[in-house]
Amino acid sequence: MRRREALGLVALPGLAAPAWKPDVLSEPQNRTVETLAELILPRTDTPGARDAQVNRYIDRMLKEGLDSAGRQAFLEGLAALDEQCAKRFGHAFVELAESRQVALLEEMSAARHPFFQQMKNLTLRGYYTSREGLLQELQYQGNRAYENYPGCTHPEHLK
Amino acid sequence: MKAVRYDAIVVGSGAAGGMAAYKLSKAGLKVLLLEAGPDKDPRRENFHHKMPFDLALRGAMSPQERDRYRLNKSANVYNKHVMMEDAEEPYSTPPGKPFTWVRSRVVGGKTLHWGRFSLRFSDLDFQAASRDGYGVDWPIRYAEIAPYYDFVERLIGVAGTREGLPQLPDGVFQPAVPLRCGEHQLRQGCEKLGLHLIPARVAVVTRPDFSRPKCHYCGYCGRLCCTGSMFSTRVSLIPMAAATGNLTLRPNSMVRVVLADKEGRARGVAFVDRLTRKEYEVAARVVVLGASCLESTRLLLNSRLGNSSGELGRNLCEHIMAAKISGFAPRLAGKMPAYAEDGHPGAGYIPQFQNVTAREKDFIRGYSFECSSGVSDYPGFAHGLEGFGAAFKKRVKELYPAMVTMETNGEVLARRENFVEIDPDGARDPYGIRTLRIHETFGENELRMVTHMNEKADPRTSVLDPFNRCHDVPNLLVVDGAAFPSATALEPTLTIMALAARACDHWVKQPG
Ligand SMILES: Cc1cc2nc3c(=O)[nH]c(=O)nc-3n(C[C@H](O)[C@H](O)[C@H](O)COP(=O)(O)OP(=O)(O)OC[C@H]3O[C@@H](n4cnc5c(N)ncnc54)[C@H](O)[C@@H]3O)c2cc1C
Ligand code: SF4
Repeated sequence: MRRREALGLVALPGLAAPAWKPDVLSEPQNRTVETLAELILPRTDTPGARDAQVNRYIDRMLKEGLDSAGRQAFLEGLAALDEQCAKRFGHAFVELAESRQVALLEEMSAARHPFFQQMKNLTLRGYYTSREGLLQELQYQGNRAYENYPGCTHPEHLK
Repeated sequence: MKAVRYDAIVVGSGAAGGMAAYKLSKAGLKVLLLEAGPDKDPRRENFHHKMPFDLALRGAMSPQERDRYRLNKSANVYNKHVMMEDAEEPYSTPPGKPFTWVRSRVVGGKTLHWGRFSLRFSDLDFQAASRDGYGVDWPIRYAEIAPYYDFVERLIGVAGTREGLPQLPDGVFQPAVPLRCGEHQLRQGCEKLGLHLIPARVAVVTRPDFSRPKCHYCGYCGRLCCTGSMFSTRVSLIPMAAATGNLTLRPNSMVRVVLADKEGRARGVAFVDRLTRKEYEVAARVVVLGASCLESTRLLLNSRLGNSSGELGRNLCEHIMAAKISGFAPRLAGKMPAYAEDGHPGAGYIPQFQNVTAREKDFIRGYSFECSSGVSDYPGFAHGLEGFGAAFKKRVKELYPAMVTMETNGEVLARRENFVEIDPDGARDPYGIRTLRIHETFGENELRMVTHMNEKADPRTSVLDPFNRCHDVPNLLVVDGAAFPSATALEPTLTIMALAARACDHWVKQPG
């Protein structure tokens, strides 16, 4: 502190981590995406979609990874979800109680609702390709080199 | 180009052309190897040892990239730098009959990213027609080709086990790679049904004392091999041919036509440099085509050569990879991976089991399965599971180590209705070379295409003689899959190389 003042410097707020901002999603949309992703793959004894920042992955995919039809379908689906929630419950999706959110997704999942499927697929991609999903949850050990290949190491599998 | 007088010109540097270049330069001929694609060393230009989170879009192609490789279904982020964009060599198909065509444009051709399965054909394949009355027999028998299989296996390195099966003759093998848990489970199931599941026979070095380094079991073979343990002509036959001092490799050289003299003999080829667009003509005593099945056919059609029988481009058939069957081995659910299981360069194989001893009533020929298991860097099956939430997540984790898949290998029988021709509307590629129209009814899955030229002893019904020489042009050899009379249910490349070696030996002994 002293030293910086002595040098005539002023501390810069937030230098350590510039806040992430979505490129395609609006702030409210981003919150909805974050909520949906966490409902699909929640934190349990291992990290969940929020820990793996799946919302950031989805925003990036909307920007560069999806074609225009896919992007449009996603954004329209997101808007339709909130519209529906407003009509049925008088609130946006993120404002609903978790039990209600889950019930709604169960309905959509059973009906194979296209937006739910798209959201789920993106969440799976984003999560299981992240450090948290691949290394912590699935305990993937790839990227190794071996002198000899072990093959099946479980005697009980050979019976 | 240097004013060298070449003895032989080889077109294409994949399995077929690479073998021809090796054989002919070893025999002391001055060889010019013309390859349309650039030179990329797979040991340097690869995406090895990268996790999905290290890659842009986590390893997915952008929509713009996907558009450029729409017809080239095997192209992905890891291999697209050696694959050809659709627009580079366009082709047309009749309405309602789409055809996808996997094409590589690079020194080494498709061997840079192939599946490595290296299997011998048997007389069940060579004489299939006499057994079931469909199509034509091959003009050779197993006993004639067996020494060439030995030769190729010794040269390229094939890992496998000796099994004594009549439908899959044993070869000269390096130690096989042990099966994983899932393949053992499948093997036990197979035994109950009387089927054999054997370790895959793959062109991968597993011995420490070979001309190329031993495999380090990273499992990234599809992303080009960073050690050179997996066979490609780029790391094996081409450097060995170059070591003779007789080989000149010219990348980025797209051959337009084979040039003929007044007597109808091949006198050389005309090609265009893809980078400078400069045109060249070169002469040689013999021209060898190994541009891949359909490209060699296109070259002959464009050269107006070899087609007095009218059979050129007819009887298109293919080796296809059809249905993928996947399931979970219940005993493996919840297993914690003890090591990086995805490092297997090959996995398991269930050889053809139909029409081997007994005859099936309702269909002829047969199919085989390539089997695989073990964890990979993405649990793709999760997209097919219903539901969401904590229970869903738990289920994905449980099933992740238990996944087992079997891919069928089959044969599309040769039929006259399936054929290729030069586009009747006069379409041309960016170099002004006339392009193909492909008529194929089953061809949604083209991967390993073979056959066009009915190689039979009778010049009236075939294009090539039993030593891959054109009946019409005695100093023109066609050494790729274009020479196969039937596709068989087996992976073709080992046989392509064995026949290419045999054709070159024969030409050196008795030049046409
Ligand atoms: C994903 C995949 C997996 C496979 N797995 C297996 C397997 O497990 N086992 C197996 O046996 N086979 C497998 N194959 C098939 C195998 O790759 C081919 O059979 C083999 O590469 C064919 O060799 P080729 O020399 O005929 O053609 P290619 O390897 O395609 O080589 C042809 C070369 O010719 C060049 N060329 C084309 N036209 C011209 C021209 N006009 N002038 C100059 N050069 C030209 C091309 O650029 C190319 O480099 C697989 C293929 C794919 C795509
Ligand atoms: S597993 Fe072996 S053959 Fe395959 S890429 Fe790795 S080192 Fe090469």
